[in-house]
Amino acid sequence: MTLPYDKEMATTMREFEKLNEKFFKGLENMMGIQDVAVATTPKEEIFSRDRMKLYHYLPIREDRTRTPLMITYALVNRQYMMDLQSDRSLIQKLLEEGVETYIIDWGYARPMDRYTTIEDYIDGYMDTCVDLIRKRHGVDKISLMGVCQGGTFSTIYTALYPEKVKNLVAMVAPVDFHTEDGLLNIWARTMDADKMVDTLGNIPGDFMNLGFLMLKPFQLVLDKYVGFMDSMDKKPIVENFLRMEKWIFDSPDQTGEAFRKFIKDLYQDNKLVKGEMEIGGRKVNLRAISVPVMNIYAEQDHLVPPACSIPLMDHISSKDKQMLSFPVGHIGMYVSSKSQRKLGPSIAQFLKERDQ
Amino acid sequence: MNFNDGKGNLKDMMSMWMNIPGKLSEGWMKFYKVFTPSDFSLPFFRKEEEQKSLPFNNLNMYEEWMRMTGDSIQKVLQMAPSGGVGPETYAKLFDGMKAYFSLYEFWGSWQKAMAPYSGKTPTPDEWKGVQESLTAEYTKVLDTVVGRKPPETMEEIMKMQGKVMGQGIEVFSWFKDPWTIVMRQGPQVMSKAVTGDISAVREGLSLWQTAIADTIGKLLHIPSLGYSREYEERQKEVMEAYVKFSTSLPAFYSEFYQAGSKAFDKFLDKSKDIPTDNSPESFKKFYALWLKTNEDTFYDLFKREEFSNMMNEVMKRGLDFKRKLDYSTSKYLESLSIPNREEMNDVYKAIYDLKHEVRQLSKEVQEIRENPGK
Repeated sequence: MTLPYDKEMATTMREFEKLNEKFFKGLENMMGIQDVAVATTPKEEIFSRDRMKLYHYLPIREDRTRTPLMITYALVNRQYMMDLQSDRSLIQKLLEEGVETYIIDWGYARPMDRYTTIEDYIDGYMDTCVDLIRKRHGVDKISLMGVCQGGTFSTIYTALYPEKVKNLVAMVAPVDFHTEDGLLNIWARTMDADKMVDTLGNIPGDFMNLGFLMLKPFQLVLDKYVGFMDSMDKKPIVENFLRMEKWIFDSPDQTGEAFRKFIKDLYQDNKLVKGEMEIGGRKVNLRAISVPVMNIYAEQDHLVPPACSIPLMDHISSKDKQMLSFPVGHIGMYVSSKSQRKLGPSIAQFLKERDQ
Repeated sequence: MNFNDGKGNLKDMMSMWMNIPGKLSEGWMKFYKVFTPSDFSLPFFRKEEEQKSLPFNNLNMYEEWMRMTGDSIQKVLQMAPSGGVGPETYAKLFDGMKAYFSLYEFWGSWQKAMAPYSGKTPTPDEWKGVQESLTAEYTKVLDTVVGRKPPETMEEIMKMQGKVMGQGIEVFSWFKDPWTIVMRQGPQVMSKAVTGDISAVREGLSLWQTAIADTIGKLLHIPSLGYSREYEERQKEVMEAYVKFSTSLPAFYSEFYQAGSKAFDKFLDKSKDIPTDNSPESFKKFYALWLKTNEDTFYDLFKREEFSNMMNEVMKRGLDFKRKLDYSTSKYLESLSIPNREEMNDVYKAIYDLKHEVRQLSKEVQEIRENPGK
């Protein structure tokens, strides 16, 4: 109460006015938006099976990498985070750099998909896509980029099919699941995955989202919106915010059997780094990975803490391996301006230098 | 875009919006009638000692404005077409803002309580007084953030136990013994619980759970007889699973409440350094400290192994209940000419296996075609 009352009141009144204007402008902006455009980079569907689709991004340069790149995203949330909006699109950056790019879209699991296993994803869908791309481009090997859980899948695939992989880019990919740094890692240890899958079949996306929101409840349920209120009168900012909201809450259900194995074998028993993981009856030996590897992690990642991603480097036999980190969180990795400036060009450079 | 006005009439969005400023103006007029005394001079021009006697100061004027605007927008939201990322996000934003508004309200109480100690350290007794007065005020914020406080839940449970006991004793004399224990120890536990003692809340809930198991639980285990035996047994199993699930929830939620109370104590201690003036900057500092203290305290809670175990236990009980309910429902459906979940799962599995086989065979045929000599 240091200011004279009249001045203080006048300041408060001005605050009211500003807030009032923001509220109503924000209301107008948001209520009129039923949907926001995401994943606008032109692409063609070249293959589909069950829920899965394989897309090829239409090139924008004549001079392109000879070795195509296939991006595999997580089963949790949707792959369009890689191409959320034109000015924050990792895909766009890769195309500008001349990387021949493909992406797998896992689609939305339905009740009948409850029996789909990790083997189906890796030995089935991924392997079919890799063969198709190899054939399409007349090459023996392609490059893989796996993001988050898709990074774990791509790492396993590279270990099982080294003859088909030229380079591996693992981005915010969990490999060593026994860390105290992440709440998901701690919670999953006591989770009764059998009971969940046997009871629910597929694991609802909403359940997964609730878990993610609980990781930082005050930030994600309150502060995010408080911060947004300051800008809700500006339509472009509202649209960007809504794109992110759409992505965050666009969570497909997890197929039951794949969820069961991912929780039990990886989160609980940490079998991948122990060399005990089996896919379709074959042991996954990370030492079998000798291709060039780029391991990218987010320094403030609360979903896949650095302690989960960094150890990949210790378990592979590749001589040509490099790490890249950004001072951002899990989601900031895809969309923050810090990573956007450097991420795409760094990946492209890594791939181009190892293209022949 | 058209809205339903709640009476089945469609109104266009623009006319609805035009209405809001009108309603806001009405609100402002009412507000100013109270705010502006008979001499019609606005409070901005009053001396500091005069403003103390006013029914509103600039702080609660802000609150009133928040409420008025919030209420108007909530009304529009209720009438807006559901679905779509814009309206859905707006609804989430408003849910989040409830906590923000209640914190803002609490800021006023905090300023009032802390202002006398601005620039000086309160004595331990004075500090105790501040803590006590603010703890009571803060329960509103806690209720918005983590749900109702456990003692309230306890009160309801205690009321319910009276009913359960009364009904049970009418039929079974043995029903009263377990509840007598609760009645004997309950008031003592309750008096501790209402002062915010979370261990007392847990103790109370545990007493109640034991009494439930020894009374209703026993009833549910009485063997069923006759033609509808199977049906009754299934129903009892579902009920028992539900009782187990619902009795595990209050203890789980009390963990959140306890973390919220702990965070408040820490926050209050650290808040001594925040200026008690009315500026937006001071509120920003106040909010930032509150947010960080809470996020850190809840993180500490979530990281504990006991929390994981408790969460897992609640989840297991919930899943048990769902499994038994699903089973019971599917048994009902057996007599109808529609497939139940179990049957559909068999179909899904058969399709899954067939797809695998077809894909494997197609692959082999393709290889033979490509290498006919091999």
